[in-house]
Amino acid sequence: MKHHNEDGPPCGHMEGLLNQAADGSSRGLKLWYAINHAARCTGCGNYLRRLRETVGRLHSATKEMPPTDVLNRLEAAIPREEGIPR
Amino acid sequence: MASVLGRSVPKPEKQSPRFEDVARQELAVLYRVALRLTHSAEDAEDLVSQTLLNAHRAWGSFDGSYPRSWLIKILKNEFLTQRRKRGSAGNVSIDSIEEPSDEGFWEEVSWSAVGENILRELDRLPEEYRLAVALCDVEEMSYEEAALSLDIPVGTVRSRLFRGRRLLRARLVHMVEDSGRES
Ligand SMILES: [Zn+2]
Repeated sequence: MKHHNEDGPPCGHMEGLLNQAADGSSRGLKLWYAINHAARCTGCGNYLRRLRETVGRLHSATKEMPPTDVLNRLEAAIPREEGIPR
Repeated sequence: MASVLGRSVPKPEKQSPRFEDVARQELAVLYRVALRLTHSAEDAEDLVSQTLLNAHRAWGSFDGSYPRSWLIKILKNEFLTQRRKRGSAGNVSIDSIEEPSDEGFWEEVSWSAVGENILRELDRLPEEYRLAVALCDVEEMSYEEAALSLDIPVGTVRSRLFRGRRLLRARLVHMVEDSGRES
């Protein structure tokens, strides 16, 4: 299948499915459908590859931890009385 | 009732989580989300501190599900309240600002040049897109958890997230091009 525009928006009905395939939030038939379509449709294949790169980089980005002094102050700021959620 | 050597011992009662334990566990995430919102370490610390107070006050009415989403929602509401009080110009609805362009999405990104700057570029996205990407892709929350945190429908999370990813990638392309021209 040749996409009308290899470097353009994905096929109209595919954007959500491709995004979910890229971030790992879809499983089973939905995932299979997205992967299978992307393998045969150049435009959607290009789109999925770019999404995967971007999402992968965000997943592996170093998560900033509060500096130790800030963390200590925030821990000290937690109200201590006990409360029980309903 | 469990039995030890023929004697019955009472089963320990299931403990409800304590506020301080729940809050301590989420401090780092709250601080990062606060940084994404305020762009200032000092303001982020103040925002998290106030969030802890607000959350503690509301703890009695919390149903115990999705504590991270619950805390982030309180943090975001506190941020909006503070911004309203200051009358900050940042308080602009997504509909009233000019839509940024995702032109550049289709170009190749030099990931080695991007390095750790990806979060810096994320911080430059309009707030609604920035938060959706930060919660779903940086903090790896589900769409549903992000929707609870932001108090918006799941469908809205999806559309902001998908667009946010395209905008971010386009920004990364431009960032590398700009830094190439400067050096
Ligand atoms: Zn397609």
